[in-house]
Parts: sequence; C-alpha cells; structure tokens
Amino acid sequence: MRIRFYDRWPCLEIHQAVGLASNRTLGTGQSGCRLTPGKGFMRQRLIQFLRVVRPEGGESTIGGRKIYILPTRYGLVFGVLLITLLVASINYANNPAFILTFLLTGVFIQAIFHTWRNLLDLHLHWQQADPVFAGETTFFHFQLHDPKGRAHYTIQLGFNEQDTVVAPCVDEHRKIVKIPFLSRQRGRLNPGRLTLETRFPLGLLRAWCYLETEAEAIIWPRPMEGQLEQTEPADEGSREGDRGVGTDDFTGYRGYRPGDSLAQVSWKALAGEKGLLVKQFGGDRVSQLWLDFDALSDHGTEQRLSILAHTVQTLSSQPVHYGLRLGDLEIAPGDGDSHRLQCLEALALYGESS
Amino acid sequence: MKDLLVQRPLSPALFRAGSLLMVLAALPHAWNLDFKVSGTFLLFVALRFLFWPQPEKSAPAWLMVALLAVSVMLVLYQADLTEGRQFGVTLLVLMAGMKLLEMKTRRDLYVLIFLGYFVLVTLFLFYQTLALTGYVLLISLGFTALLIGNNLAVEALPLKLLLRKSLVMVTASVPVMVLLFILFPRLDGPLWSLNLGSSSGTTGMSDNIRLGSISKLSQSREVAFRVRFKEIVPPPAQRYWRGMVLWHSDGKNWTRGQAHLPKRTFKAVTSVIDYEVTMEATNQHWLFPLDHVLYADSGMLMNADGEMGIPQPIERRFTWKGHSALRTESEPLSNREWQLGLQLPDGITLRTQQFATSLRGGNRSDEAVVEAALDYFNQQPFIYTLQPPLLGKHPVDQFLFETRKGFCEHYATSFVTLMRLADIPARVVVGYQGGELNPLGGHLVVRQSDAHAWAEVWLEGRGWTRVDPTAAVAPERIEHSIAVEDYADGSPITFDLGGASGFVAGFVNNLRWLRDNLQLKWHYWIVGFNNQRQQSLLQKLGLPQLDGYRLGLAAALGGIGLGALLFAIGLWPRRKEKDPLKKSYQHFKNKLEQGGLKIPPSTGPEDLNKLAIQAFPHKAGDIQAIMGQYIALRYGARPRRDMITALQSRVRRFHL
Repeated sequence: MRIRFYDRWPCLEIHQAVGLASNRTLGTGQSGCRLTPGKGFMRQRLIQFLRVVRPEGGESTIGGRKIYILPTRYGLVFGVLLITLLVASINYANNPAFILTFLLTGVFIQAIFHTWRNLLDLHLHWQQADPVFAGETTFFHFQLHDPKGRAHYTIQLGFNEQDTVVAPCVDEHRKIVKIPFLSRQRGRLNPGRLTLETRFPLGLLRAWCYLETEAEAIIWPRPMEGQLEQTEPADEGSREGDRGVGTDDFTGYRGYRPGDSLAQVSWKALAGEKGLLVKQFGGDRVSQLWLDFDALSDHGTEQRLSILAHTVQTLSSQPVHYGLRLGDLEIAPGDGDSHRLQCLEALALYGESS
Repeated sequence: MKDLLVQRPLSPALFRAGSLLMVLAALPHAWNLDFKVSGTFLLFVALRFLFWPQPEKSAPAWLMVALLAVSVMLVLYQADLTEGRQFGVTLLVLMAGMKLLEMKTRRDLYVLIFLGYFVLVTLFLFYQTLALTGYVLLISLGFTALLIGNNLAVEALPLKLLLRKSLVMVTASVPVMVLLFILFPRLDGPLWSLNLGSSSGTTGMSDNIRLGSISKLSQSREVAFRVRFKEIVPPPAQRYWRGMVLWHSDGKNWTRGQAHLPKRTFKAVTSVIDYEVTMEATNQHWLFPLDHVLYADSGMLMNADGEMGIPQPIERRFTWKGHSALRTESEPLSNREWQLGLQLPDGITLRTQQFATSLRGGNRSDEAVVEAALDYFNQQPFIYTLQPPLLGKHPVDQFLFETRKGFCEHYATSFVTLMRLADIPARVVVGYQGGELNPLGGHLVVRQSDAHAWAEVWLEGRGWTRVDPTAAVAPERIEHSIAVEDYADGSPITFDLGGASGFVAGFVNNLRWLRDNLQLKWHYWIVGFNNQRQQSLLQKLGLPQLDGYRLGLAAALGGIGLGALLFAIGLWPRRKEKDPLKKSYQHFKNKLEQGGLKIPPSTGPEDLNKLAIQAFPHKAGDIQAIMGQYIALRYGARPRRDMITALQSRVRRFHL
C-alpha cells in the first residue's frame, strides 16, 4: 500500500478512529427502497396499481382521489361499541339511547371525511437531504404547506420501512419536515415511496397516500480505518510563503466578502466601528498531501473508498492540505469544509455515471 | 405505518380532562346505584389523584389485581343478578374507575373514552328526561373533544380548537342522527326478556281504597298523566277519569270484588271524544279513560264496569289512545250487578238505617232519593278537608252525623252506603277528576292531586249514573284543582281559582307550563317514539311503503349520504375576501393600460414604476407616490388599515 504524503514534517500517522455521528447498528441489506426478490414480486405488481402522487414542477399536491382510508384498530373497537349500543337501545326500546348511538354513528361518518380532508390539498416540496456516511441516518428536508392556509394536524411522514416523524402544518408558513432514512450503501440514495398518513381528528380512521418524490441524498462511503504509509515527500511544496490563505499565522486584514467564515470576522474591529473586517492568515506552511485511490491497490474498491473517506474526515480536522486522486478525477489540495464535502461527494459517487 | 402517538404517555392536561369527564359521566349514576358502588368508584378516583397524580406513573399491577377482586366481590354481593340493568351498570362503573386508576398512555385514554360513551348510554336505562339527554350530549361533546386532543401531537390542550372541532363534528352529525332516528326500524318487543325491577316509590292509584288513601295521594303534585284531545275538549266539570269500580266493602275498605265480565263496546249517546293519554309509570295495569269509555284499542282490556287496563304493569311512560263519550246508552241491570250493587257492609247503625229510610220518605222515586241525599250533604255543615278526623268502628255513621269532615272518598262511600240502604244499586268509582289545560301545549295535565272518588247509582231508564256527592259539598273541587300547598291541618280546603296574579307569578306560571309542554313533547316524540308512531310519521312524510329491511336500508344509505352531503357543503370553497391591496394595484394597472402603457405580464412593481414614469413623465410624482406606498404596504410588516384606504383613494384620484 502506498500513500504519498507531501509533507514538510517527516511523519504523520493517522490512526485515531474518527468518531461517527451515529451509533446505529449497521445493516447489510440493500437500500431500503428496493424490494427483496422473495416477497417482492406480487407486491411490486400490486404497487403498480396503487394511486401514487407524482410531483409536478418539483411540488407534489395531494388530490382527493389519491387518498386511501380505512378504520384503525380503535375504529373497529368503536364500531363494536356502536353495535353494542344499538343492540342495547333496540332491546330496551330506549329512544334517548338511540339518539346517542345515532349521534356517535354520525360522528364516525364525519370522522371519515375529516380524516380524509386532513391530507387533502397538502403540498410537499423536496428541498435537500443531509449527506451522511453509509450506515448513518440521513434526513430528507421537505417543505409542507397548504396554499389555502387550512390547518392540518398530526401528519405522519415516513419512507417505506423507515422511521417516521409527526408534524403539523397549521398555517400558510412553509414548514420544513425532516424525514429520516437509515442509509446502508454509499452512492446516490433514492429513498423511494414516501407515505403520508394521518389519524386526526379522532384516531378512528387512518388516511394515507403514497408519494413519489424527486428526493435523493448523497451517501458517503462508510469510513474505515486503514493504514496509510508515508512515502515520498512532496514534490510540490509551498512556494507562496506567508501570503494567501491558510490557518496558521495572522497576516493582516481585508474587507469582508460574503461567504467568509464568521469565525474570522474581526468583531473587535466591528465594535470599534472600523467596518466589517476579516482576519487573514497565512497558511502555506501546513503539510500538503495527496490521497490516491490507486495507491491502495491491495484492497477492494469499496474498502479503498472507505479508507479514503475515513482519511478525509480525519485530515479535515488537522492543519493539513489534502488532495484527492480518484481515477480520472483529481481534486487539488485544499482544506475547509467545502473541500471536505467535495472530496467526500467524489468518493460517494465514484463509479456512478453523472 | 406504526402510530407514533398511541404509545406516548399522556400529557397531564389530557389525563386531567379525561378523569374529569369520566367522573361527570358517571355522576348521575350516584342516584341509580348503591352508595357502596358510587363510593368505590370515587375511592378509585381519589386513590389515583392522591398517590399517582401524574400520568406517567399509575397504580401498580398487584393493586389492580386486588382492586379487581374487591370490585367483583362488590358486584356479586351488591347487585341483584336477576336484574341485568343494575348488574351491568355496576360492573361498568367499577371498570371505568379501575381504568382511571391505571391510565398511562394515549392508548388507555382511547379505552377510557369508549367506556365513557358506554356509561353515558346506560344513564338512559334509568331516566330518559330531556334534561338528562342534554347533559349526556354535553358530556359526549367533551369526550369527542378529548378524542381529538388525544390525536394532537402537542402536550398542551388547545381547548378552543378542540371544542370548536368537536362542536363542528357533533353538529354535523345531528342531521344523520335525526334521519336514523326516524328511519331506523323499531321492534315491538325486546330482543330478550328484560327484568327492569320495580321502581320503588311511584305514586298512583291503587285498586282498593281505605278511608284516607285518596286524600293522602292528593297531597302529591306529581303528574299522573297528560291528555291530548283530538278535537273536543270536555268542560272541566265533565273531566272524570274513570279508574276502578269498587263494589265490595267490609265497612272500612272498599274493593273491586271478583269476576269481571269482559265487554266489547258501549254505545255513545253524545259525540265521540278521541284523545291520547301519556301515563307516567305506575307499576299497575290500570288505565284511566275519560268517563265513559266506549271501546278499547287492541292490546288493552275493558270490562262491563267500564274499567280499562293493559296486560303488563306500566313500568315506564306509556301512551295509549282512548275513545269516550260523555253519555252512553243505558243498559239493563244484570242480576249479578243487582246483587253486588245492594250488598251492605257490616257495622251499619240503626241511626244510618233510619236516615236512609227517611230519605226514601213516602215512596219517593229513586231520583228524588238521590236528590234528598245530596241536599243533606249540601245543607248540613259538611266540610271538605284533606285531613279528616279518624273514624272509629262505624265510619259511615260517625261521618254522617258526628264529624262531618271528610274528603271525596268519605262522601262517595257514605253516599253509596246510603243508596244501598235505600234499595238503589250503587257503586264507588275511583279515578281522577279535573286536569289543568297547558295553554302552551294545548294538552291537559292530570296530577295525583286530582285523584278522586265518586258514586254511581243505577236508575231506571238512565242506567248507571254518575253522582258526585263531593260536588254537593264543595262544587269548586269539580271546577278547579286543589291548591294543595295551601292547606293546613284539618282546615277546609281552598281552591286554586286561577284568579289574576301578579306579573312575576304569571311569568313563573308560564315557565311552569313551558316546562310541562316541553316534557310532554319530549315524551311524545322522543321517548315514546315507537313502531306505530314511526309508521304514522312516515305516512305523513309520504313514505308509507317503507317497512322492515327497506326501512333499515334507507336509514343506512340516507345516513351516509346525508353525512357526505353535509361534509361537501362544508368543503364548498368560500369566496375569499379579496386582498384590498391587490385590488388597488390592479385598478392602478388598468388605468395605466387605458392610458396606452403596455405592461408585460412579468413586470414587478419596481419595473412598473420605471416603465410608467418613462411613459408618463408629467405624472411622475403621482406614480412615484402610489408605487412607493404600494411597495411599502405590500412588502412591509402588517399594513395599517388607514394607509391602505389612503392608497385606495389616491389610486381613485389618479388620472392620465
């Protein structure tokens, strides 16, 4: 195994584990949206006949004919209650009892419509998804709103066989709902069918509908610790000295430009009414190294990607400039969060078209 | 998808609201159940709030098992197993209490609410009044609101929202309820035999009298029955409600005797009066038709004495139709009647006998004897009182010649005894006399205080003729009701003469009549709604061909259809109040376009501003002002009403 470190200091060993954000047990199956072939065929055929809400112009609108509704367990119990009350009323020829029984029957009928209406006219708009490492839970951000401003309560959203969340949509403000998905594999994740359901107002009926979304998430390779050997020193050292960008030594001020990190804004200067200034640091004396996919030749592709992901994650917290060579793709050395994301995304999408 | 809410612990607000509603639902049962049962229920509630006032922690399992054992024992020990109603309700109330004790999650609240609905229905097994029904509907509105709260993900209870939603749903259910109520097929008998037990303490007429029994009954202001006349309302003096005919006396008590011949019809001499009587529960068989009854409808019995009844005792409010005439054709006196009608009680004194003989005088006619006896009551200082002095061994003698204070039964029995001594067949009739007309409902209310006894004598050519000796003593009794409230010990009775009273008294009186009217309507249309009344109502509605399963089908389909219709009406898009700013802006744009400006559809307000100023430089000031104001209002926070009005008027004044 060969990793080329371009470094002014002789050695940099990376062997601490990178703490992952998630402590979930990691599954080994396929991505959740795909059906396992065993029980799948009939279901797949069935699903073709389902009414599914499809997005138009990035927005899905739930129409009345797309909503399914069936009684819940409590609805069935309520039905049994109604029958019991009816039998008692008939038996005792008790007309006030008939009144209450029929009133509750009416309430049940009303509940059918109200439950249905609680989903009707909801608009759902996919915004983004948080990229995560494989095995972690990503959250798909959806915007939920009703353009007519009608309030919707207790809507449960979730992807097929995934955890669900409950959210209301009570005014015309667009509400962001984050729907979890436990990722399993690196790459582009298509979460598949989204289910919206509600039992509001009475919990006696469950109305639901299926949505197809354009949502997708980037799932980075699962980080894996691997030994990285330092080989040759850098043949492209830093030549720009103390100018430019880095994190090490303070070199001076410059005017604020949108996108600058708030951590580097000189608040003292702002307080002194000198305007919004940004502290500049010279940083070229940091180590610079290349992470090369081809250098890890005695591992499988996925393993190599995992090791690289782990390394990127570790290096990003250190004063190092790193670059990535991934087949034809080369990302020039750099640091910072956007650089890290760029590298991880490249690793995630390795081998995928587009 | 798994329901995320059911497993969640209850919020304190839901927990408290649920407990309160359950206690309120079970509250009226305190009057129906043994105090031990009510006490146990309250004990459960108290235990919960003393030891586990938070929803997260509930009573431990061992305690629940112990309490279950206690409850079962209490039910078995206390409840009368032969009476299904009491047994079932006791069990239900105790179960509800235990559920309250162990309630923890939202799932438990579902169970509690369902139990609550059930408890509410069982209240109607005991009382079916209008007030109770209102109370039950109110509590079920609360339970529905609670059900909605149980399906909200929030911790706090937005009370206003819940009540509004629940009110909307329940109100929208009312038409479905009415439809089902009218259309749902009614059975004539119960599905299985019921044992409702005898409700204790019902007041009413019994089929024998002792001196004093009617005067006791007369002290009750309770309603005995209400009468709705079809057309003719008989005058007050003719409102005799015939109950039982008493032939037999041992001197003190009068009874009916035995062996009564059934009879089909009496022939009317005067016009037929049709009416409908709604009786309160009496636990007896007797009906009280207007004197004199003509025939009995099917399901009711009548005998030759003109007594009416039904086979089963009247255990709940009961409505029946009567047909009477004020006078019927005379019929010959049978031998049996002759015998019974002249039977003499024991303990007749010589003085009484001599008096009866003196009434007959020198071979006077029967009519004259009756007149003479009535004259005696009228002219001697007889007093009509609810609390007559006690009579000893020879009650008739004592009453006629010594105490001379008595109630109707004293006059009737002594009169009958006198007639029999004078060889005129006579009998005592008990029932009610009078009744107040409810001016609002147009029906007659007959109270227990209208209980009365009178006499009948058999006269040649006229048959059995009613003679009311009380009328000879206190003619007001026949025309007016007794003002029971006013009597004092042994004092003569005063009569409610219905004179003009003060404004407040009149108002209170009207309220009284209103309440009475509501009660009757309620009992007639709701509580007493049965198969016959359903059919006659359908007939009136023009749906006579509906019966049996067709009726059921119509009920089901109609219910669902009506529910859908109501909901659709609710969905109907309401015309939105137009945004005044938008309207103003459009108005302005129209004016510019009329002036010859071409506005591309994608033009925003800023661009429009520039475009318009370019096109009409001479109006630049106005345009600038309007657009500036519009932009400030449109994109600013919370536009002020008066500023919008200012913009509107500026646009109106704008001319090119």
